[in-house]
Amino acid sequence: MSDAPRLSRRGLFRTVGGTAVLSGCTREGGGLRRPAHPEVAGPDPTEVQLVLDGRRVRARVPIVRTLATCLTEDLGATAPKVACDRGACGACMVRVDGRALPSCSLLAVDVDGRCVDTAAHPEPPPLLAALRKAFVEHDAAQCGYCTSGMIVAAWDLLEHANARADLTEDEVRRKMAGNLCRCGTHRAVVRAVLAVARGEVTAS
Amino acid sequence: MKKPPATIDGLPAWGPSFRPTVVGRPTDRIDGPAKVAGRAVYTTHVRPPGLLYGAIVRAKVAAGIVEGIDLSPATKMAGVRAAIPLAEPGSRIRFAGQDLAAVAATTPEIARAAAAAVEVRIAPAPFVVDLDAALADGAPRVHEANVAERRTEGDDPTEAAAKGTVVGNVRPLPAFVTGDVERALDRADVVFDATYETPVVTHCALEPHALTVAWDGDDAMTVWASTQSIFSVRDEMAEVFGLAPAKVTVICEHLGGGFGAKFGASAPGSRMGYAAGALAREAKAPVRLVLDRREEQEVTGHRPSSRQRVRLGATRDGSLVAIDVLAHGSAGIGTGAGVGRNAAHIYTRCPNRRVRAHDVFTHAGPGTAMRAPGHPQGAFALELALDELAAHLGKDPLDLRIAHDPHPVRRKEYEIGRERFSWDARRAAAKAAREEGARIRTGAGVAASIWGDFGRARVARVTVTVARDGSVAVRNGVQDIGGGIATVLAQVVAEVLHRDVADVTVAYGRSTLGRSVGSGGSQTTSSVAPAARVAAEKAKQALFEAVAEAVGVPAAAVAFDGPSIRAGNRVLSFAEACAFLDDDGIEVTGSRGPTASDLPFPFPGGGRAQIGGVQFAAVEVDTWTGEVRCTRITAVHDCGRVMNPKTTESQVAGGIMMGLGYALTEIRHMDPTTGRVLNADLERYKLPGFGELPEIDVHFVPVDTPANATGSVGIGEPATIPTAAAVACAVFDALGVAVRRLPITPDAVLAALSREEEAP
Amino acid sequence: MMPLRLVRPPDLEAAGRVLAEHGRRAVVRAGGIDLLDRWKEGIDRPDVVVDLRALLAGPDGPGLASLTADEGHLAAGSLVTLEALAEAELPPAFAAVRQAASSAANPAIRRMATLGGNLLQRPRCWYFRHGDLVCLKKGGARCLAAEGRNRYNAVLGGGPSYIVHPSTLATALALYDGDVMHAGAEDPAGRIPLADLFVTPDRRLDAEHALRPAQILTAVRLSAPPGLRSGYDAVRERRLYDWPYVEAAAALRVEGGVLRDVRIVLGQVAPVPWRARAAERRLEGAKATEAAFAEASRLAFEGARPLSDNAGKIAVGRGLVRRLLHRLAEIPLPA
Ligand SMILES: Cc1cc2nc3c(=O)[nH]c(=O)nc-3n(C[C@H](O)[C@H](O)[C@H](O)COP(=O)(O)OP(=O)(O)OC[C@H]3O[C@@H](n4cnc5c(N)ncnc54)[C@H](O)[C@@H]3O)c2cc1C
Ligand code: SF4
Ligand code: FES
Ligand code: FES
Repeated sequence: MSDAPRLSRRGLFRTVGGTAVLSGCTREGGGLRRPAHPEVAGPDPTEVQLVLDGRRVRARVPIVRTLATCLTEDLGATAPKVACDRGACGACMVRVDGRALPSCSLLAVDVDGRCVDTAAHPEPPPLLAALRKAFVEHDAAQCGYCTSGMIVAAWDLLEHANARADLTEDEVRRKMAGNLCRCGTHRAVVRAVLAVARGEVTAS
Repeated sequence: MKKPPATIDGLPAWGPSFRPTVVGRPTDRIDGPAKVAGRAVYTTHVRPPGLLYGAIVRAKVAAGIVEGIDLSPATKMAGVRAAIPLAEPGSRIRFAGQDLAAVAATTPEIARAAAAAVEVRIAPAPFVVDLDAALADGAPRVHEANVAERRTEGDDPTEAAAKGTVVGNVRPLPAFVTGDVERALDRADVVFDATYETPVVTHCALEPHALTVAWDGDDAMTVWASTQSIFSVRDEMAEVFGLAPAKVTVICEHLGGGFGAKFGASAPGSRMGYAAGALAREAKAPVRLVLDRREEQEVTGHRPSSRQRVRLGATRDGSLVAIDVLAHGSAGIGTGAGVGRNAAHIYTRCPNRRVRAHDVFTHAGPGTAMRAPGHPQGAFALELALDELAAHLGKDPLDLRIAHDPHPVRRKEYEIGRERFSWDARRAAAKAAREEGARIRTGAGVAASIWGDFGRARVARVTVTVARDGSVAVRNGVQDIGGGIATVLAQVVAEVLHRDVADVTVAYGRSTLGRSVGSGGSQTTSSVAPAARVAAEKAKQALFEAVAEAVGVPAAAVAFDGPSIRAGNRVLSFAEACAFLDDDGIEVTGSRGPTASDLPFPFPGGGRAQIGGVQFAAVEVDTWTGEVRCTRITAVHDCGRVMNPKTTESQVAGGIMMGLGYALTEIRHMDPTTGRVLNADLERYKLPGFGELPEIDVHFVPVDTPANATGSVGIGEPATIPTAAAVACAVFDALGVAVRRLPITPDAVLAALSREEEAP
Repeated sequence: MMPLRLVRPPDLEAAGRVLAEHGRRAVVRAGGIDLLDRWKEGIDRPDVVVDLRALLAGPDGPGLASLTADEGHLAAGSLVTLEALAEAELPPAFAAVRQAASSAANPAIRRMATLGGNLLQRPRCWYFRHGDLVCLKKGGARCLAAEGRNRYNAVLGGGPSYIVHPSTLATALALYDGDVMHAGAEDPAGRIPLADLFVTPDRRLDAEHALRPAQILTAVRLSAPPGLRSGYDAVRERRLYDWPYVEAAAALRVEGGVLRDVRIVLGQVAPVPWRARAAERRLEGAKATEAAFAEASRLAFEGARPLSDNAGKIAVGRGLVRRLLHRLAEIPLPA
């Protein structure tokens, strides 16, 4: 189900939806301390704690370190890739509290106290597991450099689709549009995502 | 070399009667699971202990003389462990982005800040970055002397080296001439003459150029490289640092794309290999150098631009009598602005053909081979000119092509495409909409490609092992660029040893695993797969001999029976058979011999087969806004025996997507006043995306090429040659007026339409 | 090494205080996309960044994140994301807002980008965004675009800088009457008319809007006459995800067979969202016909003065406006 705000067409100024930029850990969040939100961070390096792919981890980072750099260099994550470093390609995409975001355009300090999931999650939830299978079956990874980001975007799209089974090719294209691929896997990616949406490929 | 050989490398050919069970089946790529699970480790992610981060200081001006480089502001910074100059006072700057110095530091942020802190003094000089300015009298000269060509494994190995001298900023490339073009043009009933332009586009692999060097003492190093050619990195690092090649171990387990820009330890415009090695030596710690997107776009190579004047002569009834192409293009400070072979070598029933191409030097980073070097440029100009001529003559452009192309396979491909694509119906619909002056038009176009079987002899050494427990492994130092060669290795061995692909362990991506080829010229499969077959056949022979001896039958009485082995009247499982081996098992190495045949049709120059391939494009154009959408590509290709239809089809679809970017979205913008690339990013440099994806219909025409022991030929490059040309032809069909310059953007479409309206 | 302090204020008042204290050395950060891009390029290196997202957890959070609408009004807090705007079911009067929001950038950027940040983001002129180049807008002497490559620069209203306003959302919002609410130490509950928010480079080069450095945009309030319909469309070089080459928004009402309250705004053609007033006048009170729309779309670019590389925007923009008007007025497009 989508959690998009729904606005009524009638009635005066009925508030029907609020937005939090980064809200609500969907999984694994239990037990983690909420962001301490110290009033000031920096200029000295600061410690961040997060749940990365289900494991609690911590790192000491300068304020200007991007989440992408923190994940790959401090925490050894292999899934996110930095190809543009400007939010333009999607290769660095991870899920923060359950939503796909470009990790190059966030700071590491932004995810203090949050859950970050990458395409490499060792205990993949069913959608992620199904997507991996479908990507292999449809040969949606050539060089594979864009693939982790593609899978995270697809995971987000499927999880938040209103009616997953009725997802159209056009919607898939639109929702995946921020993920670039130079090898030209686009056709295979669309097929793989639709195969999972329609239940043609499942985790088991 | 017409007759098919009886045996190839001592083995019976996998000819028409061969019924494979593994090869030729759609097979999931073996590296797929690691890639989709984000576990595959690329060069950018390798982290040896103590790793330092490198960064390069680059020239901010396009021309000048270095007066001084002061590294001390960088070396004084906390966290900086090494700093080296890459230029010296007096060094000439020829393009913005040129190497000046390099630093290594404990974090990537410090490395970038330190690079920015290095103080450089350059006396600027006048420069030229665009073609016209470079051709003008008195233009600043880019090179003072003749220029050495930088050839890579990405170039067409049959291309002659340029010998022409540089005059001003122009250097002629070897011309192709057959017949007498001028005379034929003089006598032709119809002469068509137009000029076409293509932009500089970049390889833009998503994984940037990346290299990590770890010294092991003074005389050995390990290099992790994002490379299309592990062995060219090894040899270059060995040469640069005076090491024995065997002391340099190069590793590229997974490669995030290359497309021609990743040969050797250095990027085309940056001495990355030297920089990383020297920094690591100075810092006594491993150093990783990863370029950012701006550097990628500015210094790591590109497909050169072109301006091509095409003249076609024809008789009134539609026979081509002359094809003449005069081309100028710029590869920046580099060489190689040729225009491929469409004009010279496809429509050979036209008796008079001439192609004269020139490098025009400009103060920009060097171009380098990019997926079918020269060909997409040449295909665009020639194929669109053919369509414009056909329209003039009132001929069907498909018929015009078939009438002049002798290649039997390509002729068949045109006919297959005509059916699959509904060519006649689409052309009729386009004509009707055009004549009505409809707002939304459709159009159909077709274009051809030409490529050669560049499979190489005796380079790749593939080793197959069979252990006593029945396990089978194959190894070779080849890198898998995403074409799926690792999977093909497994398939070939599985085929010969009657195993499943999953039963074969493949090791690749490391120089210690046996010499191999670079992934360029679409030569990987045809160089490596036959070597794998040779090795696997030797392993089979060795296994049969062991079984024969153990069971007590002659070796000739041992044979596969499905997955089992029959020895006389005993039937053994594969594992049972392997149990007869000694503790060392079998370990055999194979390589392939010279190309054995040019069947079915020779590539120019002979000695190897010519690969065809045609693509049909359908477009939809909004004549109010100029928006063009490619709705369908029908691609009909041949590449000998298709080893793995699944990955091969992916390569073709990928070539098409790249071609669509060339047709519609991609162009490098260079600033004439500052000499800088203005769109050195992935926002204004526009890779094609999900919105550009058309219906793609890929069809392979199987061809028995007894060229090597597997009959396989590459496809990576031909797949991208005709796409942009076919799209441009389709746009011409839709509009009735050609857009003669790529990319075909909305404003270009409307400009073409308004020119037509203005014309009387 | 790079001294930077990230301040997470508990409420707007505290945020305003920090900003006032540090003057030009401090900036606010909303989604942070534009800010981080400029940081990486070395264009802007503030010492203090005030993280507005921290406010979401405090007393001002609900207001900054609220989105409300009815037939004739829309109110959005400055931290409402483009994604929220894109997924909201807005009444027809505000359809242009939703359509603009849902086509800007790409899905993940929309998830982070905020209304306030989108409106106040800095230009994307490629000279401006190049860390090594210094043009008029960065304190230099010349507009490099005017004499260099300017495919994506302004054809209307330019000079001495020829940027185009980058905000897709601004193109849609400029259709409406409304106010921009702002906070800050000096004037904690200020407002300015939306029509005054964006300023042309002849008036100001250091920013593209009328807010002062210490002012925080808190909300935008729009109103629309009853029965208004609106729409947004763009032409992109890359179809599904790209900075628009030209974009347009339009709003109108059909009353007794004629058009009323016609507004047409062009985006990516001028340093501010550009009201095509001559075209609006042509259609006000006119019948919705193919001929009227054709003429209005020509008038939309009245006064345009292209630079060397960008005349194409005019022809493309005319076609875009014409197509949008047809769709809005439900006059069938010719095939
Ligand atoms: C790949 C890519 C494609 C894009 N395509 C488009 C597009 O098609 N259309 C489009 O419109 N945009 C596009 N953008 C730009 C993007 O939408 C903006 O960067 C984003 O909206 C900025 O919002 P933000 O909340 O992240 O702003 P921030 O980066 O947080 O802030 C932007 C600026 O506004 C100031 N600011 C922010 N909020 C406030 C406030 N409440 N009060 C006072 N000042 C404030 C900040 O100090 C800063 O200077 C694209 C961006 C990328 C990376
Ligand atoms: S248009 Fe403005 S930002 Fe661009 S170069 Fe000119 S002055 Fe600078
Ligand atoms: S690297 Fe983050 S979006 Fe491209
Ligand atoms: S698979 Fe290579 S970039 Fe997408």
